[in-house]
Amino acid sequence: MATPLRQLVPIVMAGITACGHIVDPPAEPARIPFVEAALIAGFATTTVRVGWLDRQLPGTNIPAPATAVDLTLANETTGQSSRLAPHNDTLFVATLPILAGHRYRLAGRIGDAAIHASTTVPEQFIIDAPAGDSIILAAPIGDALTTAIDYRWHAFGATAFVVDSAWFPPGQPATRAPIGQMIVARRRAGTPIRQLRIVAVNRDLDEYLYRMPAPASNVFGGFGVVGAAIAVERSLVTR
Amino acid sequence: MSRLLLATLLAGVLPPVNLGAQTLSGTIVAVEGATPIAGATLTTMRSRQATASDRLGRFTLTMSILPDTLVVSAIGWQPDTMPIGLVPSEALTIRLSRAVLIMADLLAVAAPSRRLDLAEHGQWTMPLAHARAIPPAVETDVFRALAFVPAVTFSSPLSARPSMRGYDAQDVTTRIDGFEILNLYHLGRVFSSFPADAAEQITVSTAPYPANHGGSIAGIIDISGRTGQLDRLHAGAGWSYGSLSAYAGGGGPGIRYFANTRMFYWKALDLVPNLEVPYHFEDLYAGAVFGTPERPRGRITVFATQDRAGKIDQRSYLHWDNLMTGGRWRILDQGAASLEASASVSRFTQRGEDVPGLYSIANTDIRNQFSRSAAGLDLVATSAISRLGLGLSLGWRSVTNRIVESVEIPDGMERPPFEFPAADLAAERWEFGTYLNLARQLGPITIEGAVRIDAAAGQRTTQPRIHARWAAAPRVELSAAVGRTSRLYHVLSESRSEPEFDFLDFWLSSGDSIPAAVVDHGSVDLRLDLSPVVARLSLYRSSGNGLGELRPSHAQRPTSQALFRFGQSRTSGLEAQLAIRNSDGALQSASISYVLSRSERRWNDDWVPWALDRRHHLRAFTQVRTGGWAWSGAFDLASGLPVTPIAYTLPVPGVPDIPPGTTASGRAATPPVYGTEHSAATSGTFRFDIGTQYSFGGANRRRFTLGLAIINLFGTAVAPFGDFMSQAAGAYATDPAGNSLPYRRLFDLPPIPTFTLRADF
Repeated sequence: MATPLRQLVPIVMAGITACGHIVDPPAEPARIPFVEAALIAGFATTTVRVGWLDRQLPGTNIPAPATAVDLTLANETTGQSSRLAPHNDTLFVATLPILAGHRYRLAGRIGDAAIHASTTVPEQFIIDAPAGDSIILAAPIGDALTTAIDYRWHAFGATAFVVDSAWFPPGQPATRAPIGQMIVARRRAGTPIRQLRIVAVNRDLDEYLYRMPAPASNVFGGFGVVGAAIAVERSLVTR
Repeated sequence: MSRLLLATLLAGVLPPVNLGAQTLSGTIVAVEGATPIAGATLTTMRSRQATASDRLGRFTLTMSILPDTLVVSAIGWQPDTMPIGLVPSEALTIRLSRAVLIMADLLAVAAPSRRLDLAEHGQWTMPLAHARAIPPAVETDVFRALAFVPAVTFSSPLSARPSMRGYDAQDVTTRIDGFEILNLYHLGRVFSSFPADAAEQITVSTAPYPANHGGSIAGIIDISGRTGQLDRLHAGAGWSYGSLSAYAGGGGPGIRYFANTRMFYWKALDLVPNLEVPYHFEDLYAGAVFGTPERPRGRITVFATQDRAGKIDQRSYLHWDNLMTGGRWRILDQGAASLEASASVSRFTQRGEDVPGLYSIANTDIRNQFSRSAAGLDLVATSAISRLGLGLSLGWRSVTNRIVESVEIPDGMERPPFEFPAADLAAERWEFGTYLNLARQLGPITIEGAVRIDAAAGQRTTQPRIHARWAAAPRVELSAAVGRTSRLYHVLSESRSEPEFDFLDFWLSSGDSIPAAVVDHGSVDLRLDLSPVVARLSLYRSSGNGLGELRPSHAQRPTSQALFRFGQSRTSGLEAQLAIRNSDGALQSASISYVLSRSERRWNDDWVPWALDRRHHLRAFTQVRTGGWAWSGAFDLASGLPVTPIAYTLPVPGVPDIPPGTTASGRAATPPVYGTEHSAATSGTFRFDIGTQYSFGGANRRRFTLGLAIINLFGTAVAPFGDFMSQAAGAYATDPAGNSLPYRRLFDLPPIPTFTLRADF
């Protein structure tokens, strides 16, 4: 008859050999529908990326052929709608005015899968500083490579801000702070005027683009985002 | 309240009392030093009446038949019997001697009784002497010792954060001498901040606990502090790898006092030139009991702890302070009725800059302060077959909860005037609680009906609770309870971060957008005393709403709260505990427990396993004493924790019409798309711990104890798994075929030896 200690040995060995595995992973679908769209207030058309995410092809999306896509963008406030039309190999276009404060819904099928997502366009974007249509930058002093611009803005219905050709300390591409500094590259005096596009994105886009460490999706039946934003432009002038 | 008014109240509520009944009152104390013994059971052999001693060792018992024999028993103490011919006019003092404690005693200390107090249902009491018998990690810890209790689980061997029956530690209330305290941990949550040398015993009460307690969803852990001995100065000290501890106590007929302090002694290395240890902690527990040993009147408790990590001049530090003081006083102390007043003030403060934070909000600057002042009155009135409890409490809670993302400022650049807060709250509010419970004995069955009402900030919850106990046979006791527990606020933190510092506390008051947590519980306990075998079987089930948690990275659906999510809970389980003791010498013991449990949450549409759900858990302890040597072993085998698999990864390009460069720093280049939440699991964990202690004494009652233990002897304990983006440092997981997976252990735990030295005088 085995002693208690001897009885313990196989249990210990079983425990040792069993530890460290991931078990029972479920069988996820080989691929799921993928949609990315940003509805910009004031735009007459919206570009939509449509495809699939595939388990075997990490980091890529498989473009969806036009025959596999049957999606409609609808303004839930006015009832107007537009069926997506192919734009190129990877993108589709919806021709529908995007109005501030309105709610939109994208729904339909990608292949055999039904997807839907809704979002609300930000209502207003007010920039208190820098004031005026132009941002006047003094000529750089010394060998500084960047220039800081103080800003103060707020947007109704938006939670994050992103500026093309600018970043936010300490190197973030976007910010959620309505007051702060943005950093632009040094420009010499007399450099031609350049347009700075400041975009305020709603929470759906914010959660998808800037949530760390993993994005959040508002697309049911697939993954991706149907979000909205409001943008303004300022002229960047260096004297 | 005048005594006349009280008598009028009781006359209206209690049933007629047998005129022949007389009330016996007294106190149970230790033979040495008159230390009060709380939670002792007193039973009369002929009339089968029973009661329990309170926090100061006091008891009241109705004697309906005389003469009778009184049987007194308490975990860790030698039982005693006492013939009662006449009820003495003075309070009775019963003195118990320390018993050699073995693990089997913790399952069933007393024969089934007809106590009117039903608090023992779903309750485990662990004297610290027993906690010391469990192989320690670095040193004995009041929380880690709860590994013996089947209802308690920990996320990993490095966690001292007790979860209870499928609910997170944040849903469990911790108390010292009955006074609530928050975050009773040192940094890292690896150790409790309550010094083991200051603890007399630890009590775990699972929900639905008695109605005189509130504010906890899942259960209560109550640590009872030690008390000074009568007419004798006693002192001691302890040493471990991590700390030095010292205590002293004493007193006389009017007051007994006790104090203990503990410190992290490695800080002393700062005395060495060019060496600096950027961390230290200090703990203090002190208490005093007032009144004669025969009939103590009150008690005060002071507890303070501080942690200091990092360097404040480099703006990278975390300061962590806890302060609590409380007192209770018996205003009215008559045979059949007592009225006790209590008051406490507690404050937890957390301040830091550039604190390694949650994965979702990076490093943080923290200004948190949670403080509460409370006062309460508790009235208890008993007759031979009934018991009335009535109480109310009034509290003032003040919360400052500010957590902002740390911004690293490049040289030459000023700090932005605004930082986006993850939490920014300053709240103050009154909290009111009241309860009424009525217990009545019906032959071998005791039933208690109770209701508790808690209210704060315009919210109110009503919590009915029913407890029943059936002394089915001289050695068989069956009890059951159903009831509701609720809490009108949430303190949310990461459930499995140890040993990282990322355990920020977010305080949320229930209101329009934050639901109150309300959970309905049901449980059944069966206790068998078939010496030398004792057994305990528990079944439980619960269903709740308004449970909250920090939104994990794999939750990829937006919620109304960006950082949090709220949903439903359901749990069910079976706990079986069996112990065998050597029937003659009582110096050998073994116990084994098995837990089958299921805990699920519904955050959206589907029920998913709770983050710390372990389906099977088998634990065994054995203990042998020979002369001055005590040997112990612990065995822990559990099924794995849930893991959410990564199913896909996103492409890089970004969203059309949004400026590029939109992948925020700190995020993976190809962000993951997770599969079904918690749909996979780690394969399990196994741990074996062993320990020994050698005690030797000398003249003048000196006693020294050397301890040696090794936890995780085979190095097999598996830490929780994080995905490839977490701050994991352990080995990568593999699938059953041996292929590497994008998950790795939060840490790899080698065997940890522990050496301790204690001296008691």
